[in-house]
Amino acid sequence: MAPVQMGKEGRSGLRFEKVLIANRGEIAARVQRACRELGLRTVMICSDTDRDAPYGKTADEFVCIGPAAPGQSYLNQAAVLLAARTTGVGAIHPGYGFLSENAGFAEAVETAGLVFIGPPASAIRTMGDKIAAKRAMIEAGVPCVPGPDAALPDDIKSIESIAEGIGYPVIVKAAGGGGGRGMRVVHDSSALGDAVSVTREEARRAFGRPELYMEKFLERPRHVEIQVLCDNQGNALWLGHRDCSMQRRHQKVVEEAPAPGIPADIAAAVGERCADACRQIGYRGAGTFEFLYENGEFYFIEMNTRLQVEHPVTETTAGIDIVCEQLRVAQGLPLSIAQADVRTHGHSFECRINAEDPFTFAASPGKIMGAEFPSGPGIRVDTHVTTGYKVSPHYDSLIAKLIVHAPTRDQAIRRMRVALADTRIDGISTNLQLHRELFEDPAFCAGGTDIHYLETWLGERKK
Amino acid sequence: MKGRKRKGGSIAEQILDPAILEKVALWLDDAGVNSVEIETEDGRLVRIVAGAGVSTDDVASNPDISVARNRAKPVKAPIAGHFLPVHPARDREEATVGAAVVADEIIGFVKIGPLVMPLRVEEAGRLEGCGIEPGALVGYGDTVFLIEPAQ
Repeated sequence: MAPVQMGKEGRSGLRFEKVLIANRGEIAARVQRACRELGLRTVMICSDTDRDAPYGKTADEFVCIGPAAPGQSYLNQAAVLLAARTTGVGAIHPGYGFLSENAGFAEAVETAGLVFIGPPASAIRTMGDKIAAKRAMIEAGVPCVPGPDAALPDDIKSIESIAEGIGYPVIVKAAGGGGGRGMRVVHDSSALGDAVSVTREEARRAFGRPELYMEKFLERPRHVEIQVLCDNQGNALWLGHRDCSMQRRHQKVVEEAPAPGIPADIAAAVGERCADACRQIGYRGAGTFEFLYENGEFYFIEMNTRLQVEHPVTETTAGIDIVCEQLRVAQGLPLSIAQADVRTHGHSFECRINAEDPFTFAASPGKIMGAEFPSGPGIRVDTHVTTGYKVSPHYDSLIAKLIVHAPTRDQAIRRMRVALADTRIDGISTNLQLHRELFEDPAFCAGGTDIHYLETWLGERKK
Repeated sequence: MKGRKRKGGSIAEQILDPAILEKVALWLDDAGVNSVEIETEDGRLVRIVAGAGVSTDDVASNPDISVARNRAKPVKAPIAGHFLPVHPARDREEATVGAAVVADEIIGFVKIGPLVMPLRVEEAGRLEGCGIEPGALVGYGDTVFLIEPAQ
């Protein structure tokens, strides 16, 4: 990708020259790398417990903004904005998680006269409301799961009638929910009333709003997603698809691109509609449309209005640096490529290496006494940890992402097996053993396993 | 248990910085180590014993550094900003190294945009040192001053 053009006339044309990265861990290191590549200065923030993070040493400025508790540091909007003001940055990159999908924060950043490296607050707000998002997708022609694009009424008779119309099983979801929380599957009318009242109360408590909606529950779908990129000039493109079906408790464990076995014409039709939807809602930057895929059909579930953990598998197959494109777009520049130039090549896998017990999945914070990561053709490691790094109990347990790319899926599987064998992390427990076993599993290696496969496989493994 | 670490540069530069001192003390605690020896490029050896101050092998009779880490109390920045030893509306420092200070006394400031937040002493003592340059960026919890508590 072409770097941000500094030009002989200097950098005066840029909207910002210094970026505050409002995140931690591997994604903070990842975004910093892209900024440095584009000649942008970086300010990294940290909490008290992350003072020794290695990426602090390579930042232009590194400043602690609060105690370890996320609410007092990485989620503390005032502290982040004050740090931005103090260090004189022109833009804030939110990474993923924390404040990345907080429309209020995006608005506050812009109000402070800074650039939010992400979509407009209005788009975040629309996509954060599952009912509004579904309505927007239906208008754009994106295929959705059968069910009304409106909140459920209060009257149970009307709700029963909606469920009969969709056909059991159905799933009742919180309009403001996400990440697998605030949803219940209902297999027949006798369980519907309780499911609605419990989910409504859960939604009120967890998300601050009680609205629910209902959809057809798909029994054995795969989780397939489409990466999009948009600029301010009305260009929107899609970069192929990913399969993220290997999940445990709604947390992705392994991702791959492309999703195996999906006919190119079906994927292209959905991809084009996603790009159209982005133009219609005035989307900007990177985003992901998440779908359930069953029996050759795509069903929209939600849009993530941010960079995703699994973006590297798309980067390696499409040959595009998504974070650099985010930065270009935030500068007001057009995307460096057009849809016609997008070509995906080969196959890519990503293994999320977590500091957790490979059998019980209990978090395993502590000091890393030794860390060795693989290298070689087609191998990429996104991490922030080194020997001596202390994994904090305060945050997500992700410590590294191991990514491989090869001409075919079979070759990529073989490459990942070697890469996993060459990875060593001492001093704490990790899920490396789980990954090693998964990449020997015949069904997984055949491709196309559904979102329930890993949980079932783990159940069998216990026996 | 003992740790040994080679490090270059002048001892004063390396060790007198309160932030480094605090970090070394934390490393000792975390590793269950009660002393650490730091060998400098010129062959001098500094020994830091948890709770017993710092000594050097070749200057033991005339130590150039003497910090009892469990006595000196840090005054930490309450927020990220730029350190100011002098209030923008005044013309002299609030406190000078070596001066006696009283509890709740303001001895410096952190500036965030137009806001100026005071750095206050928790308990009376003597201002032993300031490890931050005027105007430098400080983060939440960074040690700005060290106070030797009154006896």
